[in-house]
Amino acid sequence: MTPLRPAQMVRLHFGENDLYAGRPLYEAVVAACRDEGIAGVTVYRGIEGFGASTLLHRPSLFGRSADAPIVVTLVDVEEKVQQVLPHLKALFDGSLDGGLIAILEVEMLRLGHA
Amino acid sequence: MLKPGSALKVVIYLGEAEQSHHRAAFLLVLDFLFYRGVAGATVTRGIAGFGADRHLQAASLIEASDNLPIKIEFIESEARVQELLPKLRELVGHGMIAAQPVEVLQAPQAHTPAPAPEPLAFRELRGKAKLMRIYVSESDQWHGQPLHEAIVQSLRAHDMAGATVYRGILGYGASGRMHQERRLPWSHDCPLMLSVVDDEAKIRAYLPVIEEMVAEGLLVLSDVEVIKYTHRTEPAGAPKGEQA
Repeated sequence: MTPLRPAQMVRLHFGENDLYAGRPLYEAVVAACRDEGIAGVTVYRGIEGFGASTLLHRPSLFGRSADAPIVVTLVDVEEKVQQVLPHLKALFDGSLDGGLIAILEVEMLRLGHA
Repeated sequence: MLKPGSALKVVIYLGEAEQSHHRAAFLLVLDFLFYRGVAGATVTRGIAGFGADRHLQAASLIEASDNLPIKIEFIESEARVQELLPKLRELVGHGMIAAQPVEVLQAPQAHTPAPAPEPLAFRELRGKAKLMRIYVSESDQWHGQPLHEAIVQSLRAHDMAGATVYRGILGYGASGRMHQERRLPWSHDCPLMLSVVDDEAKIRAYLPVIEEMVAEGLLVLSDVEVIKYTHRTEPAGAPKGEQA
């Protein structure tokens, strides 16, 4: 069996309506991770939540216009994560909306690439 | 792997209508045998029969009986049968389980050998544990069914404490292929994440199984502390709950 490698997971929390340079912040985050060759990134849309601004994020009943909470998680070895982190911070600063970035120590295993 | 020589033939009798976990009990038994690596199993439906409750069930052209007798048969070594028996008893509930010695003359040959999963028993879950996250795509298939559903069934067969599947709206994984939610309702290529919490030993013992199933994906383990693991109390020896 392939051994697991020590890695880091980054969790970014913000809102669906947060923008960076005119496009959704989560798309900019995914693009930045892709540019840095991060192993895997997933964007989740929550159904309810609140953040630093204590404004309740809640998708509306009608359509997709409302500001749902967004969580982006990415995983890679520490070196790669530390490499992409300044870019992610810059995106947050540039979006003016802010959010939360948290890091967890994890172990990682690429499946199907043995 | 089943070898030629002495073994046991196990026969399970159940009613077709018997339910467990909101599914037909015989399908749960079959899933369990499949994901625990039993060499083979056959389900046959009788056309008439009766059981302990003395109700005669028969197929009729006019009135379809929905509780015909079901017979599940499999052959395994005695050691494997003993290992599977506690969980089988739980799944079979009120049905009957019988075993008879048989002589295997020719063992079945698998086209691709499957790894023999290690025996795992359910334990109370508390304190230090591991959180396993498995990343796959919604469009991935495994033996003709959605991969994430097959993984959930295999997790259940390995007695994991519980599993939750999350659908992401955007992401990419091992292949670098982008998965994105489309505005079209029939799009099924979102990134999926399955999360499982259980003992470290149990999670690590499961890794070879998941490596075998996933052709392209990512797996992440992290430390967690289980504060509470409870389940809804169901009558008469119902199986463990579904929280995670």
